[in-house]
Amino acid sequence: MLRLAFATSRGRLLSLASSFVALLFAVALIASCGLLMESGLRAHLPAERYGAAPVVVAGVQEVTLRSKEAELGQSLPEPVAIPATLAKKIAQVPGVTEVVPEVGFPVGLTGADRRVVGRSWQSARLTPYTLTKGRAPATAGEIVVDVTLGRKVGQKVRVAGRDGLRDYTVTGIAGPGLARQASVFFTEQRAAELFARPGKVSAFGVFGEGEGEGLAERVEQALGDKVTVYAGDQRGLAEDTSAQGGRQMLIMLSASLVGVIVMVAVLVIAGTFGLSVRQRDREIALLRAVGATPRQVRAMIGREALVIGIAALVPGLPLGVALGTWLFGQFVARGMVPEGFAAAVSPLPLLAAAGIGLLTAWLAALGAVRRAARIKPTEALGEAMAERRELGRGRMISGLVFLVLGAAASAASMAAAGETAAMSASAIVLLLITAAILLSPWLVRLAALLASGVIGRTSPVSGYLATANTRTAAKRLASVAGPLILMFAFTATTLFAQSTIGDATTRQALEGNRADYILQSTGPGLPPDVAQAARGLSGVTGVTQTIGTEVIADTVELGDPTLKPMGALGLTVPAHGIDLGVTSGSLERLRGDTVALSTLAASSFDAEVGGKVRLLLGDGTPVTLTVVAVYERGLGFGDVALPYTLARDHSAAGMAGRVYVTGGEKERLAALAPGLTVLDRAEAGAAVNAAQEFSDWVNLLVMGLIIVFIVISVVNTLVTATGGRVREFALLRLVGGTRRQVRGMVRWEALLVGGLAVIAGTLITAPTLMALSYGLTGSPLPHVPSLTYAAIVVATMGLAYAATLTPAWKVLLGRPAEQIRG
Amino acid sequence: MATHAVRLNAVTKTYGKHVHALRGVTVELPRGGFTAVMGPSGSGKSTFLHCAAGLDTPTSGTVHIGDTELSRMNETQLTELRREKAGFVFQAFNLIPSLTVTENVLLPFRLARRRPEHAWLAEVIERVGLGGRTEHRPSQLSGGQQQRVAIARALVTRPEVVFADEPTGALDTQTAAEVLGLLRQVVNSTGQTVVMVTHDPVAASYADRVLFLAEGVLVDEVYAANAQTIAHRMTMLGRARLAGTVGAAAC
Ligand SMILES: Nc1ncnc2c1ncn2[C@@H]1O[C@H](COP(=O)(O)OP(=O)(O)OP(=O)(O)O)[C@@H](O)[C@H]1O
Ligand SMILES: [Mg+2]
Repeated sequence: MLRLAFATSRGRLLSLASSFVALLFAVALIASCGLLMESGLRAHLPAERYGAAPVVVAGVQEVTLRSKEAELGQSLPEPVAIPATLAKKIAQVPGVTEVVPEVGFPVGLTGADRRVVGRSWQSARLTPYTLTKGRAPATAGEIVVDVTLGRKVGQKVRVAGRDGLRDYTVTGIAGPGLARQASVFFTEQRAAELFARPGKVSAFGVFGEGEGEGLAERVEQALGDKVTVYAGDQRGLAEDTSAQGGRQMLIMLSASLVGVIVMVAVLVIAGTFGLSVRQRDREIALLRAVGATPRQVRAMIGREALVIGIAALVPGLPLGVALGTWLFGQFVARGMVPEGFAAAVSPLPLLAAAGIGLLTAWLAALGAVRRAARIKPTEALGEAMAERRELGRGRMISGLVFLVLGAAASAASMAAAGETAAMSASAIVLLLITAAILLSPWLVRLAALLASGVIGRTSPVSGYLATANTRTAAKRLASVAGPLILMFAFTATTLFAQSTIGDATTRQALEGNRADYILQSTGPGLPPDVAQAARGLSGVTGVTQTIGTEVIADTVELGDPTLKPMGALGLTVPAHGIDLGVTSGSLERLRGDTVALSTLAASSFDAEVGGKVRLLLGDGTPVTLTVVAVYERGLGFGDVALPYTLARDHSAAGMAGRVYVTGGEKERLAALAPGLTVLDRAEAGAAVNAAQEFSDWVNLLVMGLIIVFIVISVVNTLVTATGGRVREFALLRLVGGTRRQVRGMVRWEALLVGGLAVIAGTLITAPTLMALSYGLTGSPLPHVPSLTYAAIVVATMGLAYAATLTPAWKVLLGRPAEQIRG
Repeated sequence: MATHAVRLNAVTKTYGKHVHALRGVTVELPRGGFTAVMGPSGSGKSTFLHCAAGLDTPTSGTVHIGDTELSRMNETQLTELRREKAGFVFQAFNLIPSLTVTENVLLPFRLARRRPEHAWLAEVIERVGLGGRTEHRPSQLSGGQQQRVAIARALVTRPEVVFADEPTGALDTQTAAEVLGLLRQVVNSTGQTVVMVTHDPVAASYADRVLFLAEGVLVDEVYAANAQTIAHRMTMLGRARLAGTVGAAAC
């Protein structure tokens, strides 16, 4: 049967090709996601700082809900410290010969172009760093520095740390230099002061007999899951908290991408397979009449799909590796994955991708196979088989139900506001798109009815034929309009949701910024002396220090306990130069165990001023805080505002991220500390939210992928639909139509279908975006850049035109008398 | 062994609730006979043929092909039976456009995974007069030639019964005569059974026996009649129908 399938493939080459391309693309994407996931799961980062210690014990950089075992945890943005007393326990593990504690904290060093880590000289042997010149630090004012930092013994160096900007004398130079991070060594006591977590350490380096793995296992057994034990190539992960976040991001992102891709691919490829079966209705019926069993028909369609799937694997897998490597590079370039992380290329994800790819092909073919097997042999006879299935009433009813549900969801979200409204946006768009696709035949008819008067007058021949066609062949045109509507609505919602959020963020940040200058540092932060000194400058009327971090909200969502990361801002009060737009309560009381929430966060927590909320600080410390204020500008500044000291004490660097200054002069502010940048109002703009930028980028990426699939499907549907009209065109020409007239007719049809897609798409997008905008910003007016909108319209119309006119053009080149004989 | 090739007993076929395409048809088609089925448009001729051939299942009643009763068979069994015992010629769309003449003719063998008998294949193709056109595709053939390919395909498996639904409907008199002569020859030379639906009294005159269907009921039959007689009977049928006296099944 397979030979038969391919023997009859002439004339179906296009639909075979589009199934092939769609599957190839799907396989490549799945393989690239597999590669990313593998890179995340088996993330390895060669150890630098802990190079000499075979085993490293550090904090667990993620939190999981105790009630839910399987769920992936939320990674923590700040390093988690572990109790120093664990040292004893580790030392008792069989085979352990030595346990070296490590305290590590970011410090600022003028002129350093990479991360600089402050450490105690006692932990130098974890690398191992050895003195190449000079001697170890003996007093609080002495340091040893990495050779790559380019300092000299005896030199005075300014280091910004948690307790301020201090001058130190370099007493020694240590090597070897490290590529990703340079170390500055303090005395043990001074390091502990700067680390500022009494009784805690960052990590332990464990030395022992035998190879690392066995030792790591024993240590792990002895300590349980309160710590993470690293060995081998994983030790690098312990050196950088962002590595853990990047790792989790890789795993989660690739898992969800695979889900989306399989879903979209199955939908699209099912469409192309379905179409190719529909094209062959009669052929299959004839085969049945002359002796093909339903099983043989099933086998023919199914195996054809499988063969296409297998064929797609050949170029798909290598393409996937290339794509995955590129994506990985992008993640690194965008700072979401730490440098030094390696993309893992191994046969396992490729095998998995091959399996999932074939499964996708099989799932996509299911519908077509079932349909083909149901074709009765008697359908080969008789003429009127083409549009034989009448449009069902069921289809109309379910379409209307979806429409009503979508409209109701949109209206309800307007009433609900806040988080719920914003989250319902994706549900609304899905409901409305489904409604539009179900109702598309009637929409096409309606459009034809409405437009026929005008078109008929403008173009009495082609236009008349086109509208007549549109009315009668509504189902064929609907199968074309459907994917176009999907493409338009999907693209518009994604892009305009982003522009709405982006615009609101920028606006809030601008409106909330009342400072004349904003100080920023190129290093890990601004030490407290900077704010202090700024206060003393003449003309300065207000100084506010802020720290940008992230907290994890411990909330209940729809009855389920949920951990949700939220952007957070620690700020000193009274806050000068920042206006969060407080709507109730007051920021004046933001001290101690208190918190202020954005309107959105307040609705997530279901809390008001005076209420208590539970959250986890950046380093995983659980706290219960009293709400003292609710404010509007959550998008611009973060959804949670913490007392400055609380945010500082639980952050790695313990220094201000930004200092807002009102009054004063730029030059004098710039002179306060080395490595300081001063932004004036115009330059300040929005606090660039790296995470938001990245998620925008990912959204665009996903949108791009889905659009590629949709375009494949649209082109396939349009080309097949037009190609199936060879006889119709031939007949029109035989009864006296010119090529131009037939082309004109096709053009009018394309205009009608494209126009319908634009209008329906716009009608779908509008309520969705209104719900989103209302939920996030309180205003139902989304931000829609007209140029982008125009571009989407042009792309949709262009696609409708190109994919209809090109095959029609080709058909019209043939001789009608031959074509009509088929 | 049964003397009949096909036997229908009280066969009815109802589409939906109200369309009664066949209302109790009982008839035996003897082995080695050439039977024509005539009747006005919509009288149920095609439905009759489909039910008799196991292409479609009757709403009630039984159909036998040879000794095999069809009503209890599932789609696969029916298909396998058709492969072995039946050949089909339809009025139009008989051939797979992308396959050549030979490939089309050999299709039943391929579907049954059987080896074709090449000598017989050559003979059949020769007999339908397509000797020189075996590598052509349907679109390169005339309507009559396409029809003859379909007949070759129907004959190549040596089926007991050949079913044809208006096989000459689209053909000119000359080509129609060729096709009909071929069917007649099949009956005469190999003793196969042919059942043919037609509107054309001339075509029907090639048959040994002509059955007349009206509104789903067999109302008349003639044996070895000439075209004139058959045409006359058809006219009578039309009158009878107009007068509303049709009702008695004649078989
Ligand atoms: N699939 C179907 N669904 C509903 N009604 C049907 C179906 N097939 C046939 N009919 C009806 O059954 C009746 C008999 O149809 P049939 O095709 O057997 O007529 P016929 O005698 O072959 O007509 P013609 O000479 O025009 O081919 C007709 O009234 C027809 O409308
Ligand atoms: Mg008929």
